[in-house]
Amino acid sequence: MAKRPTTRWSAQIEQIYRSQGRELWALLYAQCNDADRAQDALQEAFARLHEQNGAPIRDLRAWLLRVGRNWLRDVARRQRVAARPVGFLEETVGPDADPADIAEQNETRQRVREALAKLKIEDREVLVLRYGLSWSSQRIAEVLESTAAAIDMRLSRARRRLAEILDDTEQGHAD
Amino acid sequence: MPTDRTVGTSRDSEADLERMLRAYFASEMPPDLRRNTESPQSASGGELARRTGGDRPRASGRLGLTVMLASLMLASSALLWSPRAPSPGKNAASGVAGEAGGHATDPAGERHLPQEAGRLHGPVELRGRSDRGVPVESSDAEGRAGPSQEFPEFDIRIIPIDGDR
Repeated sequence: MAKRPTTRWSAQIEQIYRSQGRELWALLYAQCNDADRAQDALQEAFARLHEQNGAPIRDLRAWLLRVGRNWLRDVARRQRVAARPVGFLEETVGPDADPADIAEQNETRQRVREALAKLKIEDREVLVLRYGLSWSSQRIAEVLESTAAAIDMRLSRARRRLAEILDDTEQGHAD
Repeated sequence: MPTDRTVGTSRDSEADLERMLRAYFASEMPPDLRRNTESPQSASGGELARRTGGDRPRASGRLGLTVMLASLMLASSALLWSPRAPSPGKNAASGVAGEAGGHATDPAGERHLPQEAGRLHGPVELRGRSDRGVPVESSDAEGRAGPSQEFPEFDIRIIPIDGDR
């Protein structure tokens, strides 16, 4: 019978979540392009870590990321995700927002999501780390095991592709 | 979140695209992670490893500062006392400055160990510095007395790295 995780271990996990959660979420998000699903994967990874109950893990970050990514792959295999409804912006625009504004923002958000979905994972990774976490190129390079110059190039390429996709979408709408 | 107009016709500039992405990712971020404000030490695994190393860089900085202060003490002692300016050395037994061919003593015959200034993590701790100076008299190899000076005393302890500390 597995030993029950100790309070100390739970506290350690919470600390790890605080320090690593954002980065791991961003990397998982880059893989699935779905905020909620990335969060679920993150929770799953930490739940598995909790079950480890302090057993030594050589590279904790890599372990968590691997568990989260595997979970995303499993879920993707099991089901195809229907497009998420977009009526979830109220929390960011407030309950008194003009319904027309909400609709417009939802549409914008959906278009950005669809455009991001057409990018490669590595392009989404650099975008979410730069614009989601406000990381420098140097820091991104450390995490992705690259160089700052290569990250700058990748960022530039990702922005260009995203802009092209948005332009195409826009023209499609205009037509 | 920028409006559709931002995404549309006025999205010509890169700045607009960047602004839009920041707003988009900010709204996508789960609330509990959104509250977790970015700190310089947070996030990457490499940084976690550095975090588990505690304040090692700061301790190294303190060690460097201590070495620099000790060097200054040695240099000033040598300059004040000896016109021959011999190469400075350190009297390991007494822990106070001395010079080649001479010796330095604490006339009080005792060390004024400072109160512990607090516990810091890392391989080296600079525990504190005594409030009063330690009078140090220098003399050369022939026993000629030199000027007496007061130096602050430091207590440096080598602490093994221990994650539980």
